[in-house]
Amino acid sequence: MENSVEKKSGKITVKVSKEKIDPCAVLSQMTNPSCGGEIVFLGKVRNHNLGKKVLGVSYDAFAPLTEKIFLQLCQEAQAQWGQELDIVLVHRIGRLDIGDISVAIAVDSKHRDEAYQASRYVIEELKVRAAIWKKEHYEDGDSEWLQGHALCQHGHRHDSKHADKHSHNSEHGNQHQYHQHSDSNHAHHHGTSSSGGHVHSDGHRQSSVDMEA
Amino acid sequence: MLNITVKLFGGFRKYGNGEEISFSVPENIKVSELKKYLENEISKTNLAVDKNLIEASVFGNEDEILTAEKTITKDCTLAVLPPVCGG
Repeated sequence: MENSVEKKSGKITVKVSKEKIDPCAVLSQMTNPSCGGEIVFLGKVRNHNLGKKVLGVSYDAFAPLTEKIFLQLCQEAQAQWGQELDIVLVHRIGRLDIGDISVAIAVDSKHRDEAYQASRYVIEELKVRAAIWKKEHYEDGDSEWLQGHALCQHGHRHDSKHADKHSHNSEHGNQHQYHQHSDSNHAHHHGTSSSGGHVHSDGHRQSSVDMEA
Repeated sequence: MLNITVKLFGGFRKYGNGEEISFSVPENIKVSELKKYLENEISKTNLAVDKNLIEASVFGNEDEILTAEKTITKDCTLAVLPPVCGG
């Protein structure tokens, strides 16, 4: 997999990488002198989940698609909280130990409120839209792929605000569910804004795709 | 017939060589119809088919998640994307 391709679009930098995430390196990319608010969110591997002792987590990702989705999420955040936002989004893949940083989101903005909101938006959307999976490794030697949110194949954006409205196919408890939607009950979101935007469903699109091997 | 290669991720990595599975499908097949061919190919392995996992998954390429209604007209490489849980 190509996991270290870095893409920049304006003030957005996204990356899926096997390398350890260095928060200082992330912060060093935030150099806009017009920004007065800067925050960094770090997601880390914790040592337990659902009553089981966790020794580590392996992250898997379809990196090319994930980086495009990352870029889209950050652009959506800019559309809502300001085109001037600087955003860095990095997600690690491979085997991580307890305490290792799995994801870093840095947002630089004129004022703190936009930075907090944009950061929260990106992490919540990432969890339900990015092509990333994690496998927990347990003390007893067992390991398990965690089950999360089903991606949408109807040409809409399926965002975090509406994930809970979808029907569940529960297997292992609250955090181990397929959050799956059916045509009859799912709500989708169009446009660049999800918070407070209008929600509707519509018909499917007919299209053709030409792909070479 | 078209040759389809499906990259495997997450819970699908237990199948085949853990990287990809290939099979043939009729020309102009819709993406929604790919699952039965994937399931058939997986059933040839010695592992039980996780029908819930297949049902909850979608297909994508390097640029986008494919809509169920899209038509595949050429040989291609896709990815099967089970429910996600990044972060």
